[in-house]
Amino acid sequence: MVFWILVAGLVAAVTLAITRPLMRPSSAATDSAGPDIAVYKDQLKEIDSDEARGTLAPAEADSARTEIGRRILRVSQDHPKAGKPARDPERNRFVVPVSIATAIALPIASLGLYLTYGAPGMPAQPLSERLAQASDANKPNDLVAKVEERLRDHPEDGTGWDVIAPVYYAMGRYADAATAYQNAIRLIGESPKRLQGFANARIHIENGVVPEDARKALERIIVLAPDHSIEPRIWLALAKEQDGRVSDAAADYRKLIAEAPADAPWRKVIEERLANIGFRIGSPPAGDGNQGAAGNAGPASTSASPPPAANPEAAAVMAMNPEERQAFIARMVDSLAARLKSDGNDAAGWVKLIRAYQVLGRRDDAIKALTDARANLKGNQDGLAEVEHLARQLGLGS
Amino acid sequence: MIVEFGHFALILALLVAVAQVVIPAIGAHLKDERMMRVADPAAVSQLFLIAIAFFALTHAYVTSDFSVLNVAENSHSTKPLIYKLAGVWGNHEGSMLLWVLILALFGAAVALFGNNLPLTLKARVLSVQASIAVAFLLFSLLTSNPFTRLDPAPPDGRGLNPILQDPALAFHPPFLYMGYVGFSIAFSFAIAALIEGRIDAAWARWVRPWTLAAWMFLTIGIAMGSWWAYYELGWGGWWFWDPVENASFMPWLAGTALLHSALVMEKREALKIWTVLLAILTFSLSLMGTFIVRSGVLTSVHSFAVDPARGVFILAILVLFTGGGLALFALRSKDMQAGGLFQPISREGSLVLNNLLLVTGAATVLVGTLYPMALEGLTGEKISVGPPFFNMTFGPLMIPLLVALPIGPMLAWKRGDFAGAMQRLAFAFGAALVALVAVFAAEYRGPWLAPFGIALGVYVMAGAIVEWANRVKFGSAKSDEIIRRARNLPRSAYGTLLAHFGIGMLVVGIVATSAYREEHIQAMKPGEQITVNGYDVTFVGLERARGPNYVEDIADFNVKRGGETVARLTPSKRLYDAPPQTTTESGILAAWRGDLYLVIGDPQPNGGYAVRAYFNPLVRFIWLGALIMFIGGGISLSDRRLRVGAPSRSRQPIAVPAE
Repeated sequence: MVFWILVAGLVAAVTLAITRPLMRPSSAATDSAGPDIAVYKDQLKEIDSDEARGTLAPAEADSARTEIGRRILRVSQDHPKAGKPARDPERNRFVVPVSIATAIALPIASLGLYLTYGAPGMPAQPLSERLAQASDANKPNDLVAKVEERLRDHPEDGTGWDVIAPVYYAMGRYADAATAYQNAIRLIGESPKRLQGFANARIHIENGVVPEDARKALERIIVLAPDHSIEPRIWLALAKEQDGRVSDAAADYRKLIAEAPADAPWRKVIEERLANIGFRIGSPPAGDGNQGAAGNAGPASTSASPPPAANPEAAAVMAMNPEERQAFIARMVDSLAARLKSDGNDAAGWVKLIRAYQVLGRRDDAIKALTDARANLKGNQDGLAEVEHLARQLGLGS
Repeated sequence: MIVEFGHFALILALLVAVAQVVIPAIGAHLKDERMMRVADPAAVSQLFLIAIAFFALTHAYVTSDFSVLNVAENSHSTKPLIYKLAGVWGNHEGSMLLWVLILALFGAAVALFGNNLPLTLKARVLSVQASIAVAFLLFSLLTSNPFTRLDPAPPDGRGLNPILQDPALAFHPPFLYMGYVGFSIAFSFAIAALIEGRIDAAWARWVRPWTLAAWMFLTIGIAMGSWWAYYELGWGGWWFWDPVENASFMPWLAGTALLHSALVMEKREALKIWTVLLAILTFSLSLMGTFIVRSGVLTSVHSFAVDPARGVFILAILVLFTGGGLALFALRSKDMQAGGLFQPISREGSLVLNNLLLVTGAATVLVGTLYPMALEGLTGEKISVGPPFFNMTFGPLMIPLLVALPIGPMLAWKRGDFAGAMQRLAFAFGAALVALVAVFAAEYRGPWLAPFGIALGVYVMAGAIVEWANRVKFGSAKSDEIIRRARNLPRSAYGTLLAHFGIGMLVVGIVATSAYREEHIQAMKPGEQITVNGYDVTFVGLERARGPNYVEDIADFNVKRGGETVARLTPSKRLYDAPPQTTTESGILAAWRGDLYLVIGDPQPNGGYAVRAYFNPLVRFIWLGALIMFIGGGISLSDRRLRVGAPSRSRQPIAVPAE
């Protein structure tokens, strides 16, 4: 209620302030040359003083005076009615409707807009009030302060550190959490929980990068409690990936997926990471992306497929384990062969197929494909030349 | 309730702004005094309402009211109070609110202090000013409303970027915005004059104080930003040609040009058309800066495309005001009469040169800022146009400007005496020569161009003093005569003296610190010592401490000079709780001859720490120069001539010394 009274007061005050000039009778001149002339008169005075001071030669002062005089003259001509109020009969026609429109539109439009965009009636929720509402037992800050005080007096109280560490972590004070876990480990020994907490805090501090000390802690967990080893293993695989040992990381990820129960919540995350590094495995060995790939393919196939890095399918292939990949490629090659059998006039397709056979070590199939290509591309001189070029390159003979 | 009241006030401010656009404009057209007078209370109400909104948001920050989305996203309960306050404008929505607040502040200032203006001009200025306010209030309410609520409120906020939790950075945006937004008044004056179809010497005088005020604040705002970058980013650099810096530097260059061309217009009614164009362009560059900083194009052209609402909105504002202003200019400028004539060698001529060089400089910065963005937008290629580009293009442009700077004020209006000016500058040339020889003697190992740069700065400083000495007849008159003359000199003359002197200092500081900087990067173990420019710096040790919302590794360095301890420096590395980010705090020993600057880095495998130590010679001159320029602007602003025509103030005749 107080809110609406304040709103009403504000709107009324503002509306009144704005429309007040419209209510008053018109008084002074509206179109006076006064301000202009004041400026020019001042400029004249300035010239007088400059001349008196000796910074302006008399001849120059005179010409400057003439110049300013001309300005004054022009301004006076522009305002023939200077000094007299401009009584324009037209003006009354507008003043009244404008005042009324303002007085109506301002309150209605402001309220309308506010009710659309605002959250009327929603109270403020300052933190102090919210904390006061929560019961004392739930005040984490007080508890923390108590434990902190105790730890200041008894810094060798390992249990105290062990209690406060996860609280720090939950509060987002990761550096304190890491120190607390470290103290707890030092004082009351290693446990998978403490080591994991320490590692998590350190990883948080480094914005997701697994630092050396966290890696060591994770490795200890695997030694201490092999049955708690899933989370540490995930992090360690990630650490390998971050170190640039991408294929090692991929192997670890694959192993984790293979062991994972189908409904494991982290399974999807790892699969994503694996797919992600597929991209990276795909491009770096080929050199600098495009350039390297084109270099490998040789001059003959400038029209051939895009480099593997640019192709998401290639990334997916890279993410598979060797057997899967083999099977996938074989499937691809077979479907290409089948397509070319039905539509043989596709030089790029033949080039791809011959190359694929060659890479897979199926030389006989490659030679057979070459023969088929020659037969199919009879009418296509360019295509034929491309295939012949490849044949020479691969040493498939004629 | 306070939050909601603020939201309502902001909406009401939008409507008041609409009324302020429409009613005075009609009034000015019909020459109806009553309707024109609506502008004043409207401008004041607008300021009042936006101030309520700003206060409401500040209150939400101070009380950590996380039911306000903006507070939850940008504040944190453990943050110290001053950063809760600074957090209000440390984010997009809040900074836009500050933007409109300052816009309204300037509008209200014109309404309250612009009594010396003709009524129609004032009404039109305030009407145009309000149209800018309408655009930005709509932008604020529709795309970046600071009062969006959250229910239920989250337990705690996400925190302010720790790098922003620093006094200089926290308080430089208000100054910077005062500058940026202040040029809106020059723009409004230009548009109002174009609508009125009358631009003359008086107009130039009326617009000058506003331009001067904006220029002052922009100067100090940029200097504060640079000072912050210097001690907070930990690289000892003071300017990075970063797009955000450029965004504020371009309006500064154009604004400086505007300040000088308005001078010509006021005295001689020349350069009228150019001055109006410059007023439009200066504010357009301010808007462009806002667009660059606020639309998201900065992080990447593509992030702009991801959330297009804001970027497109600001772009539309930019196009509307720049395009509209220029269109009106094209339509009206041919009706304007050209002003007074002058010889190339004259005060006017020198100011034209000043304008040409400054505007070309601004254009260079514009190209260097926009080209990489355009390239990324068109081809996806990311390039960075770094300091080398600006040093090679912008630097050479400034040399003729600085050479001409002391000569200009020595030339008379209309027709100047070049030889005479040179003669009177003999002292400045002498001072520069002494500086040149001295620097060569002290730094004979090079670089070879640097002494010339320092000599140039000294020449500018000496030139500023010579100009003043000339005006008070120093050397030719008796001492009491000199004192009387010095006292009677208009304040704007002292403003010029200080501003030009400050530029000279700035140049000396920039050249000295860029050319003769000493840099040591090495791993140090406690107890080890290095020598940096005569300082023996010993690494005593490292200690961990807890601040209000961060953990800090404080390094302790003992600094000796000539065997005596002169300081203990404690650079540190902070790790903030929320968001967990590290910042570096440098340890600086400031002295006239330069700063000793220490930064502590990461621990090394062998137990040492990476320590970076710099000696930045004369680096203080940069900010001191800017500060002197700011003070010069202030003194010039207090010149009584800028208030001429104000009916409420009594004018005293100036005492002219009897000769």
